[in-house]
Amino acid sequence: MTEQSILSGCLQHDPVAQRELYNRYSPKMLSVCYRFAQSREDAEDMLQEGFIKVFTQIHTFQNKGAFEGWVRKIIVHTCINFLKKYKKFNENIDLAYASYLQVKEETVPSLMQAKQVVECIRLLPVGYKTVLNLYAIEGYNHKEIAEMLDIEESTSRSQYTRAKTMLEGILIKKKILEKPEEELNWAAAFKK
Amino acid sequence: MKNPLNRDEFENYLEQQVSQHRMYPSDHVWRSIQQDLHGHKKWPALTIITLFVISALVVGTVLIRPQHQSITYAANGSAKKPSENIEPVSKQPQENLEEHLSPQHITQQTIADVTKNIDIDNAIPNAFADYDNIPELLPAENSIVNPAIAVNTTSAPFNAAALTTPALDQKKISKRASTPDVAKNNINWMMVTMPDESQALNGPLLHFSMLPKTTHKNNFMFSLGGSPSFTPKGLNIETTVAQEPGITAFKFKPRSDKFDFQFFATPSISYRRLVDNVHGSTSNNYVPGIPYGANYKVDLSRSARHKPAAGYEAGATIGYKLNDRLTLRSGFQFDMRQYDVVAYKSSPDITNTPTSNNSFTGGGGSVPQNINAPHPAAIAPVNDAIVLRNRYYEMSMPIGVDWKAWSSGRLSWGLATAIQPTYIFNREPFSIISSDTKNSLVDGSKLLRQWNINTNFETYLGYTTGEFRWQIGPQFRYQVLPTLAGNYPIKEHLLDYGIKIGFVKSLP
Repeated sequence: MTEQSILSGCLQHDPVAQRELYNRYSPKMLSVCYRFAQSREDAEDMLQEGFIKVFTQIHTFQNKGAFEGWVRKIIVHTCINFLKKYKKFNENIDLAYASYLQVKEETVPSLMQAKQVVECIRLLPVGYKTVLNLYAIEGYNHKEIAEMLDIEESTSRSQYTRAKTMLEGILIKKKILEKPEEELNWAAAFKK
Repeated sequence: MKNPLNRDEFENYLEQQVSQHRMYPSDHVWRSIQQDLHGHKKWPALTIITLFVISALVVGTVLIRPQHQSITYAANGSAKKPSENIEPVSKQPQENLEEHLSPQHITQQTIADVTKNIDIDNAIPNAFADYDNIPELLPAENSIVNPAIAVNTTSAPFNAAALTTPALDQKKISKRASTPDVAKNNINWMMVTMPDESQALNGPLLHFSMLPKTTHKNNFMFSLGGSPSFTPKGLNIETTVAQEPGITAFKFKPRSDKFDFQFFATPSISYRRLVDNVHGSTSNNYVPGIPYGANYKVDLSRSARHKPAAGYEAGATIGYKLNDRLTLRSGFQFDMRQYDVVAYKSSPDITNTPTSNNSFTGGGGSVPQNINAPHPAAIAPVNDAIVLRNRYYEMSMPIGVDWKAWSSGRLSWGLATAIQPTYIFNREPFSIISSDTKNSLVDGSKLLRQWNINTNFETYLGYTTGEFRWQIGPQFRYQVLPTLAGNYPIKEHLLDYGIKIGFVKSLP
């Protein structure tokens, strides 16, 4: 089925078209939800809510831009609302405390690097990873993030900085990323 | 969104990695989505049970026939002496009435004794089950009969006076039962007794004799003794088919059963009629483009576009014949009626956040409907059309009359009408026009009226084959009360046009 025929079918509430649309986009969207969620169950709940909204609001799609981007936007909003609804933002971890988070070898299974990266992102505290996901991956700016999360723009910036630093540390520790050359040179220079 | 050029290497790396990541959800996620969008798939228990009950009634009526009493000749007890025990008639051997039942042997006392002892239940074989009862001569159940008898197949004049018995019990005719044995032997006969006020019947007692079927052309006959001109009142005599010395034969008109059973099915098309109840009237002075509420008088049927859709009706009724033409009818029927509502996007952008909670399907968002008069500029592009379906499941109890206006041989033509108290029991999302100024469709299932009144009018052409009358004809059904209860200003009345197909069978 072409995307146009799928969209037409979904407008007619055709279950076949809806299933086709779901099959096409659910793998990627579940990955999006998984990065925001605390668990796979939460991620599937987010996905379910998100797709229900996709199907019920499909008539509002203006044919401007890619349909996948429109779906992704709804999914991301659903994830944020889910986290707000179930008060997942109660954690308040600062960088100092976060630095004590230990990433054990076995917590990140040796899988494909993409999955490893995603799993590392999930290790971050809820607030950090949410801002990180929204800014670094979904492409929202800090103003938009602040509006979505009901926080200050400065808070969004600081949270992102901390999240990025923490994630880099995790990825390096897991040897998914290598230490930057400047750091290596600096250490070597220091030793000298 | 932030400028993609401002992304650093780390962000690019993250985006590249996560874009490759895929996860596959569990099956229950999709099932939950489907249930939320389309509701639970319900087993159509009510539909199946209704069809089963109706089918069982049809099969039971058509296939199961009442067992006829198999009895033999009755009323031979009059030949016995009063002191003898009178055996049940069914056990009495068939005897030649000519030999044993001559008027000379009948005495008043004998008749009185027999009258006392013979039970109507063991009475007469009678092949006239399908013939008219004689209203004033019908006995009560289990009443004693006078098995008046007589045979006179000779040419000798009939001594009617000898049989006139003023002392006869006024109990009247026994019930009749068909006799397969008798029918098999081509012998059909009936016993009739008369009240002692024989003058009311303008003649002497009726008598009977056994007559071979082949003697006469007609199947159901009995012979009457007495005057050839004798025609007892109350007997629904159709013709005099034969006259022999001392014997007058008559043919009864077939009995018309009082009750009948009808089964029908009606494929139909459903429409709706919308009336603006604000001013109680509609007009065509619709101004396109302005909020709906500003158009107080508007022809809603033209503005709110809907397409008719197919539905069906099935049911069964029992009819009570008041006379040959008029039948009162009542029963049960199941209806499914539906229509499509065509909605369009008209606004350039609709703000529907994920937290929006007004929806025609229970999810989020509203459907904007460009409710305009059919003006080219006001009609949105077709590819933006959305079709919503409103469906009704109903159970009705029609109460009405059926008038057979004309009949000739096997063909007949009739008219029927009924009023139908109706119960509506669907719970699907139901699109109604919002009563605010937003020109949108919202879910109005909570406003649905559960009880309603429908009326129907039909005409049919009937064709009789055997015991069945098959009929077909158009039917029009109209919903009297508005679909939605309360103060909802827009009144909807449903209309169905269909072809009703059914059959009617008399009940014994």
